[in-house]
Amino acid sequence: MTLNNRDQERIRRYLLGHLTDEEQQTVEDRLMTESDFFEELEVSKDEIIEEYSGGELTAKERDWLEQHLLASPEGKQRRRFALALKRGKPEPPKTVPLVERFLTRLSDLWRTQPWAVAAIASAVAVIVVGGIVLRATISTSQSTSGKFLPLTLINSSGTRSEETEPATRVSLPPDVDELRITLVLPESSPLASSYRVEAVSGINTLSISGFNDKSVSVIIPAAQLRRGQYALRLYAIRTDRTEERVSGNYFFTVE
Amino acid sequence: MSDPLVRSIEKQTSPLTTESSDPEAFDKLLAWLDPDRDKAGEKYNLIQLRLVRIFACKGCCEPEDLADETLDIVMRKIDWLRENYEGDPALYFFGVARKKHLEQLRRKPLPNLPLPEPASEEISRASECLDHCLEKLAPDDRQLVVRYHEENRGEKIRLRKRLAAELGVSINALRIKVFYLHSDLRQCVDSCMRKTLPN
Repeated sequence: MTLNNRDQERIRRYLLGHLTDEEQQTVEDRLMTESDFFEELEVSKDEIIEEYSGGELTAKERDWLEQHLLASPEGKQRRRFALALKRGKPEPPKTVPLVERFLTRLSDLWRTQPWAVAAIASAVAVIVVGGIVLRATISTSQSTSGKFLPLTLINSSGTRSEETEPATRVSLPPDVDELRITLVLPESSPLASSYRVEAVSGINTLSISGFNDKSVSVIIPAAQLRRGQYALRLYAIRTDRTEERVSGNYFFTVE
Repeated sequence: MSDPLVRSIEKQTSPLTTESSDPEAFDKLLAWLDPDRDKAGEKYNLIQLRLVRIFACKGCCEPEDLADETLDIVMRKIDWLRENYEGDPALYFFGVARKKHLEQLRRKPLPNLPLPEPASEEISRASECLDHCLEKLAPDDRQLVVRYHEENRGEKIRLRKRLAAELGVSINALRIKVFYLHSDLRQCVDSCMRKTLPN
């Protein structure tokens, strides 16, 4: 039997000290009687210690872990193992910023061949001036507005029906490049470290531009939108990578 | 067939004591857990393992000792339990365990110190042992463990989803598979480190 996301999240919260005493007791009773729940505890211990070793926990979570699981012999053993695993990981190659590399090479060239640097500088100056002159003579028909239309949508769960209540209506002016939608999170929405959004149909490209504890911002290119009704679904992604659907949909109609 | 997690953990911990200073009470305890003695033994082991692991979550320095004390207390009450208790025996064990833990906290509260870092030399030895233990894994399992830990933070999540897709399993199944590989590796590393302890 696979545990649901809520149970996995609950185990995580138990290990990181986010539960009340009463909630802890409920979890511990289940750990004593449910094999899958207990297995999830053991699996999650490894993952949380890996996150601890990688500096991915909050200060409060680190303190809790250090005073609890990591204080036990088992916790110390797992931590040592996680550090050994981490040590064995190949280090990513150190990347020197491009500008720094360029300046270093230019400096070397100036020391060895100053005439070459002067020639390059002169050539660059000619190109830049020529480019400015050229640009001034070319008329562009490209739009540089980058205009967007803001829209705020409320979650449909418990308040609206797909079939009986009209969706928020929006009319897109022709010079708008994108629709920026603020999806207001319902009070019951699950805790999340990030989100994923998908359209029920009709939109291929949409992205999340930001979020906070009250809302998620989504961008949809205007070119994707034709007249008609759309519905967006939101998924909360927890720190343990599991997803939980935020109940309800976000409806809107393009006129 | 016994629980795979039990088998995995049993390989790592010291042999569980199934004998008692009061064999008659112990027999009654097993009979209370299950009329089939083999199944009763498995349930007893499972209860002890879970107590140990939960005590570890609470930061107990001697979880095996606390678990043993809990089991002894329950065994001493077995006559009363057989007549009067209704419900899952595991929950009764844990009720006693909670009280034992609270007693321990009163005697010895959790230290409020920054956690000392393991010695660099210890981690070096563990890392060498891990290299040695990885060689003992089947090639596919070795590659899985190495790839599973290749990335950090956000990239790690994307990599693991890709790995799960390559193996044709869910991300959850992948997590559990890697956990059991880790369990075997940890046991191997511990054994290796005991053999290579500095004088």
